[in-house]
Order: sequence, then C-alpha cells, then structure tokens
Amino acid sequence: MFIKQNFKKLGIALILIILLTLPPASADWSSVTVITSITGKVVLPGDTVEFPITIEKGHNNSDEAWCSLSIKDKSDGWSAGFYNDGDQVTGLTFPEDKNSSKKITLRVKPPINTPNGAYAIWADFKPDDGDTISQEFVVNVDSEAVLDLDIYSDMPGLETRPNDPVEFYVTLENDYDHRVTASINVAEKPDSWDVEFLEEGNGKYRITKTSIAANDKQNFIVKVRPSTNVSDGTYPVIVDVALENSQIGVSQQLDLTINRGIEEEKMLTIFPESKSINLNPGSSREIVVNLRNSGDRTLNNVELKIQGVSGITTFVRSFGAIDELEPGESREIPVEIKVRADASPDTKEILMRAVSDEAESEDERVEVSVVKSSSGGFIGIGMIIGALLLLVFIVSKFGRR
Amino acid sequence: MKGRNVFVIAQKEVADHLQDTGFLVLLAIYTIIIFSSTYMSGSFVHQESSMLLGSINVKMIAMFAPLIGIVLGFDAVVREQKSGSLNVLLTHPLFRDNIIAGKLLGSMLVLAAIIIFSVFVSIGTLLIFYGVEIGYTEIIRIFVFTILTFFYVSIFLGAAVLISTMVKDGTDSLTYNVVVWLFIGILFGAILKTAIAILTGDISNESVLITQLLNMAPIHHFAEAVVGRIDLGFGGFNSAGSVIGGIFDTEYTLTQCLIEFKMNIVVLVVTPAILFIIAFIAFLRKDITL
Amino acid sequence: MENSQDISGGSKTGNENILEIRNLTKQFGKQGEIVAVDSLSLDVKKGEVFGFVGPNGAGKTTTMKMLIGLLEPTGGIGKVAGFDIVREIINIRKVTGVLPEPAGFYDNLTARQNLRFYAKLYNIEAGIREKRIVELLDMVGLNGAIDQKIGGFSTGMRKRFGLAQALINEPEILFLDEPTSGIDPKGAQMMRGLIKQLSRENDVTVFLSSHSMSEVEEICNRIAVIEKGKLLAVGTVEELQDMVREKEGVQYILEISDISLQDAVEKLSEIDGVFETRIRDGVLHVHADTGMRFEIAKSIKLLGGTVSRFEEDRMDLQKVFLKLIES
Ligand SMILES: Nc1ncnc2c1ncn2[C@@H]1O[C@H](COP(=O)(O)OP(=O)(O)O)[C@@H](O)[C@H]1O
Ligand SMILES: [Mg+2]
Repeated sequence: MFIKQNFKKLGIALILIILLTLPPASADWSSVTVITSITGKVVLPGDTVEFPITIEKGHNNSDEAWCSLSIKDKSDGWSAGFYNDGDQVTGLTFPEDKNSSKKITLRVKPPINTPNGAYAIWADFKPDDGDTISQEFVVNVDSEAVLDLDIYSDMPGLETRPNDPVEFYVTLENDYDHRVTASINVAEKPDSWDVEFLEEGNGKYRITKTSIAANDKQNFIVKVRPSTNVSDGTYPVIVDVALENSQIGVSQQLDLTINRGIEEEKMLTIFPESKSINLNPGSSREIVVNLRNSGDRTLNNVELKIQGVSGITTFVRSFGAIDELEPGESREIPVEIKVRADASPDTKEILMRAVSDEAESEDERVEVSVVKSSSGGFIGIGMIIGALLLLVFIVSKFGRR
Repeated sequence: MKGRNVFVIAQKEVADHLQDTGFLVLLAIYTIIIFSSTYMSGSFVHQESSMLLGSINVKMIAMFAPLIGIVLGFDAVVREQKSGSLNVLLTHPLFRDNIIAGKLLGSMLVLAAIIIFSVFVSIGTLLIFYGVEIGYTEIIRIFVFTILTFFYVSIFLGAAVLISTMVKDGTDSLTYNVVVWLFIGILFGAILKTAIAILTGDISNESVLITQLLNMAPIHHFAEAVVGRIDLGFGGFNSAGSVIGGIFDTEYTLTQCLIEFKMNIVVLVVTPAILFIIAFIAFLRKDITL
Repeated sequence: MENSQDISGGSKTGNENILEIRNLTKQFGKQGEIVAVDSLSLDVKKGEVFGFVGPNGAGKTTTMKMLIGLLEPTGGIGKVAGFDIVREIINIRKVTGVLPEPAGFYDNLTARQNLRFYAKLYNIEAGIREKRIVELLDMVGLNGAIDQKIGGFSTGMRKRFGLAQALINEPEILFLDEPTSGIDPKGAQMMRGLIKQLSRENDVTVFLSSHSMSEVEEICNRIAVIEKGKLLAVGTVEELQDMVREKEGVQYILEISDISLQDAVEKLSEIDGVFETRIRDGVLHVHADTGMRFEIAKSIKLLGGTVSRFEEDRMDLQKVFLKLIES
C-alpha cells in the first residue's frame, strides 16, 4: 500500500494539535505540578501516540516526594501507559533538592478497528502529599490521518539487463516526535529474484531493522538482482517497512525495467591479445589476456575462467585469483592454448570470462583454427619413405640368398 | 677373407630373418602395437613436454620390444648346431669367431632396422594423418630414443644368443628366454615389490634397497633414461626416478638429460656389449661334436 | 710333441704326398685317458682315393677333424696340401672339401641357395659361382632338385648334395667321412660311382673313411686300417691281401682225380707248411703258407693223382679286415 503524503491534512492536524494545547493542569494544592504541553493528538487507528509530560516538585518543598501514575479512564481495548526512557513506570520519586522535575511520556495506542472520533483518556497523578491531579488527554482517531513514518525513493524506477544487479536508494523518514524502530521486508518481488537491503554507509551490511530518531531520516539501499531468464518488461518490487509493536507500516514500490537491449556497462573487461589463432595439432601457443577493472570499485578475487573445447586444452598461467583489482588497474594473464595431437582440423571457439566477487566480464571468444602442419606432414612422409628405403636397402643388400 | 666372411654370415642371418614368416608376422604385430598404442598413453610425460613425444607409448615398447631381440637370437646357435649345419659350416674357411660375430652383427642389423622402421613408420603416419607439428628438438629426441631402444633390446638379443649357445635345443632356448624376459624384463618390478613387501613389510616405493635392486633390471634403466620413471614393467613401481622426465622431457636440454641419466645410458650400452662378449666366448669354448 | 722325423713339404708333382701325418695323437678326457688316435702316421699321394677304414669308434672322424683343423692334435704333426694342420687351418680349408658326418644343411634354403652361401665363403666370383653350382648339382644328379628346399631331400640326396657342397671350391683334396652311411644300397652304389668318377675326371685326391671294407675295396687305391686309434695296415688291396697271406697262409682249392681224396688229405698233412686240409663238396681245401703251391702239386703227382683245378681262394677284403683286427 502506498500512502501519499498529504500536506493539507498534515496542516489541519497541526492546527488541531495547537487548539487542543492547554495550559498545565494544576490542583489547588499539591506537592507536585504536572505540566502538559500537548493534550490532544491525531492518530491512525492502530498507531501509537505519545504525550510528553513534565512533573515538577513543589516550590517550597525540600522534602523527598513521590507521585504515583495511573490511567483513570480509557476506552475499551485501548492501551495506555507511562514511560520513562522507554521503561513503563507507575510512579516517580523525587529527591530532596528543590525544583527537581521529571519528563515522562504517556503512550496511547487505539485498537486498529477504532472508528473515527475523539476519545478522552484521563490520567491520575497522585502525589504522596496533597490532592490528586487528574488530566485529560484527547486522542482524535482518524483513519485518514497520515502516518508519521514516511518512505520514498528519489529514483523509484530503474532499468537493467537480466542478472545485472541494480541498487535503489530508499529514504525512510520519521516524522514522529519520538524515535521509532521498524523492520524492513520485501512485500513483493518476481520469483527467483534476489532482493536485499544494504546499509548505505558501506553498502555491505544487510539490514533487517532500522531505528530512526524523532524527525530524522535514514537512507538504505535496495539491491535487486533480476534472474537471468527474465523477459523484458517492468517488474514491481515492494518494500515494506513496519513499525515495531504495531501492525501498521509504510511501503514503497520500486519499478525495475528489464531491457536486454541496453548497452551493458561492465566493471570488468577482458581483451585477449589475439582473437583468432592458427595452431597445428600437438602444438601450443601462449596468448596474453588483459584483465581490466573499468568500473569505479575495487574488485575482489578476480579470476580468468576458460571454457574448454574438445581437442583443446588451456592452462591459465597464474597463481589462482587476483586478490584485488583497483579501479583502472589491469593485469596481463598468459594463457597457454594446446591443441591435442589428435584434434581434427577444424575451427574451434574458446570462451573466456573474467569473474570477480562483484562483477563478471562479458564472454570473449578466441577462435582456434586447427590446421594440419604441412611441414609435419612432409617430415612424416619423409620418415615413412626413409623407413621403407631402409627396409628396401636391407632386403636388397642382405635379404637375398 | 677372414673379415669378409663375417659379413657373409651376417648377410645370411639377415636374409634368414627377413624371409622367416613367423618373424615377419611378429614384426607386423610389433609395428601395429607400437603404432596403435601411440597416442593412447601420453601420461608418462611431464605436462610441459612435447605432445608428440608424449604420445609414444614407451611402456608398451619397454615391455614388448625385448621380444624382438629374443626372437632374433634364441635359436641363432642352437638351430645351427642341432641341424648339423654348423658341422658343415666349420669345414669351410672361417673361424668360429667369424660365425658368432656374423650372427650377432646380422641380428643387430635386423634389430636396428625393425626399431627404426617401427618408430619411423608410427611417427611418420601420425605426422601425416594428424598433421602434428614436429620440431628439431623432437626429431633429435626421437633419434636418441631410437638408439636407446636399440641398445635396450640388444640386451635381450645378447642374452638370447648366449642362451642359444648353452642349451640343447631351440624350445629350451625359447623357454629360458621367455623366463628371462618375464623376470628381468616386465615383471621384475612387480616381483621385487612383492618380495620386499613380504620380507620387510615395507610397502613404500622409495627405499634405497629397491632403488639398488632395480638397477638389475634393464627396463629400469630404459624407463629412467627415456621417461624418468623407475619402472615401466607390468604391475611394478610407479614412481618417478628423477625431476627430469627422461630424454622425452623437453624442458631440459638434451645435454642435461644425458648427464642426468648418464649411468642408465652407460648400463644400456655396456650390458649388451658384455653379453655379446660372453656369448662370443661361450661359443668359442663350445664343444662342437663333428 | 715334436716329431723327429722329417716330412717333405707339399708339392703338386706326380707321386708326391698331398697328406702326411706323423705320430698324430689325440687324447680326450681330463687326464687324456681316452686315446682316440694313437701315434698315427700316414702318407696320402696326390690323386689317390685313399680309404680309411675301421670299426665304429676307431678314431676315423677324430683323425679327419684334426686334418681339417677342427681339433688340435695332442701330439704329432701333420701337413695337408703342404699346410700345417695346426697353424695353417684356413689355408687347408681353402683347398679341401669336406663332407662331415653328421652333416646338416639349411633346410629352409634350396640346394642352389645352400651352395651359393658356401660359395660366398670362398669369395668366388658370381658368374663362375652360379655356373659351378649348376654343374655340381648336375654332376651329383640333383639337377632336377636344384631349386627345391633341402628340407625335402632324402638321405641319399643329402649325401650327394653334401658331396657337391664339398666340391664348391674345387678342392685338391676331398675328405669324406662315411659317405655312404645311412643310405640304401642303391644310393650307396651311386655315391661310390660318383667318387670314382670324381677321382677319374677331376684329378682330386679323396680321403674317405668307412667302416665297410668292401666299399673301400671297390673304390680305393690304397687303404689304411685303423683300430682303437692305431694304424694296423696301409696299402693297396693286393698289398693288404699279401700281408694277410703272409701271416695267415692261403686257402687252395684243388680238384683231383685218379686217387682217393682221403689219401690226398693224408699225404698233404704230412707236408711242413700245410696247416689244414679238408674235403668239401668233393674238392680239397688246403690252408697253407704262401709259396706252398709247388710242394702241394708235387705231392699229388707223387701219389699218382691228376690235378684238374688248382686255385687260390681269393680272400675278400672284409675277411682280411676282420683278420687284421683279430690279430
Ligand atoms: N669330444 C670327445 N670327447 C671324448 N671322447 C671322444 C670325443 N670325440 C671322440 N671321442 C672318442 O674317441 C674315439 C674315436 O671316435 P671317432 O673318431 O668318432 O670314431 P669313428 O669316427 O671312427 O667312429 C671314440 O671312442 C669316441 O668315444
Ligand atoms: Mg665317425
């Protein structure tokens, strides 16, 4: 579900909040003072709303004091409680010093099926000495209200080739006046595609949860690798962000268009020294293959892979993989191509590809034409004629009686 | 006159072999074996070496070429003696040493022809049909290989001629020769392996004892000199005897190979010479009853 | 070992010796306990057919082997065609032809190929060689089998081939060891005919050994009898017979009339030099010393008898041979 931001509604909500804001509730006499800056808020059914409350000890009291906190009245099925630094509290203790104060939060959560309307919640602050202070908080449940969590992507549509991963940058914004924790999930994706959420900073760590401070935002990467066999078209990938402790959340659709026609941009490129060579059966040739990091990231474990063909053996003359190949750096790898002695005269193609942890190069083809050696053939004929001449000589010289 | 008659005898020996059906059948079989087993092996040669050389099945040659020597030599003297033709031959103007020298010379000539023929025909055919490239290095190595094979088989020729001067008839000679071939030829490694395993319980292939005892087998010297392995016999040892893969290892120069395998080559050259001399003396001392 | 007797060198003229041996001895065994040939001295004249006769094991073959340099004598000296039998073996072989016993040839080769091989050992020029091969095989009656393998030859054909083989170098002297042994009488007769023909037409000296006296009697000019390595007698057939007669006396056969045979027997028995007189089939057989012919005739006359037949019973050589050996 994609919720559009509605500034108008937000404006109305803000005005309502200001109207509902009342001066601090105060009992005729009490050892504590309860100051509430906001006593009314708009909320989505199922979302949580928080009211900040400051409790101060009386001016002329230097004794130790305490205050118990309780909800006197609330609608059925609602949950409400007091929290201090994330912990639920039912009472507060004040030291002997003068003028100490404490900040607590009243957290209220209407059930998800609450009809629209204004609901009152009465909270009782009962000090050890003096009258109980009752304070009303109004929660305006509005299913049309805007969730204070926002998700968006500056570039929600990208185009790529099959199997080539793309990275969407997605921003998550917390408009609450408190910190939220949310879990990130894939709500929808085509089968056999890989989707992962990566931390923006290093692009490496996978994210499952995120926690954002009040009125702050966070970027993360949605890396999508489409399957190899996917056909051209646009496919949605929906990312779901759900607030912890509530069923509700936001989602963002990212559209990935698969287009085989687009020019592939390669991080890793290979250039064989020659693309077609002639070899005699039984002989071999060394060609140099140039591996280059043409991307802008370091590539790890770069290796040249060669697909064999019958009749031809290849040896990559290097010590395993290249650990790191810096952007712009290139490496020359000698490859020996050996044609089996019994290979038929024919043109064969060797496929080679450079692979690394991050990227793969395009396949390069080296044509190997197996041509019978004419000199070898002549020498062969010579050897056979020689052998026969030897035999004829021996038979004629010694074989007769 | 004296020297000339050596050649008359040698010529007759060559002619006898060349016109002997059994011998020609054997030659054909041998050439076919060498030819068809070429390209089936290749495994004994180091990765770096020439593919052409690698395709020569040295193991097959090491095991079966000695049979050529045996066939050429096993009845050299005994047949002549048994048929009584030696009696007649000796009444003509030639010494005994002429006879044995002529026979050895003739057999060696046929042997050389067969080895050159089989190697050249096999390699020549491959060059034509497969179109394999052949370089100067390979030609030289093949040449050296041919010579080494000649000496190696000459050992068995020498033994065969020696045996043929000592036994009473051709069948005995053939039997003893085949026993010699089996025991000091193809099965020596396997027998040694078994014997060492039974006696010492040591089944490693590297002990000094084995290396020393293997020196008694011609196949060991041939194997080491050609492909750098300690044995090429049937069910024998399978380890490499040297870093250099024999003269077939084109990674090293021929001179390096020859120096490395100096001892093996000396044994291959000297052993047939010694056997020839013993056969020579045995024949001269032989009592030929007229 | 050296023999003090002087022997003359080989010469090609008339009655010269082509073979001479003096005190030739051969011992076998570790201590020389087997004396195969015992101080044998012989001369063979050029052009002769010389018979060397003796029972099996007499030492004939051993002697021949020494003469052609296949065995070194233990003692004594010998010359063949003027060449020393120890030091000049190759020269001897060049001028001799030998048919040894046993003799084998190359069965896988034809008669022509066999002869060609032997001819090559003498370095005979090819044209001459091929002509001679045909002539020789023709001579020994193998012209029909000239290109047949020897393997298919009968024993008789082999022997004849052996003769041709021995003649390939046109030898001055031919050594034939038992040339007729093992072949049928017809074949043997053919062989003997060949040897006689050879001697007549080819001016070759033949030295042949045999254990059959009748054979040597038929073809040899001179005969040597050998037994247990020792020479018993040498000479022509007549000389050998005389020798026996000298020693053993003679058998006379007399047919007489006018007197009774019994009387004659009694009378003759009284004569000194008459050993035995017998009557057989109405004839008188008188065994007496040689030179008693006149005495015997006289005695019969004195009795009044008439001699109608007076013959000397010619001893065949086989008997002579046996007599020699027995004595
Ligand atoms: N190589 C030999 N070793 C020992 N004794 C031999 C040898 N050759 C021949 N003899 C003996 O010498 C004697 C003469 O043999 P040989 O010359 O063959 O007789 P012949 O030929 O007259 O039948 C025989 O007693 C024989 O056993
Ligand atoms: Mg004899």
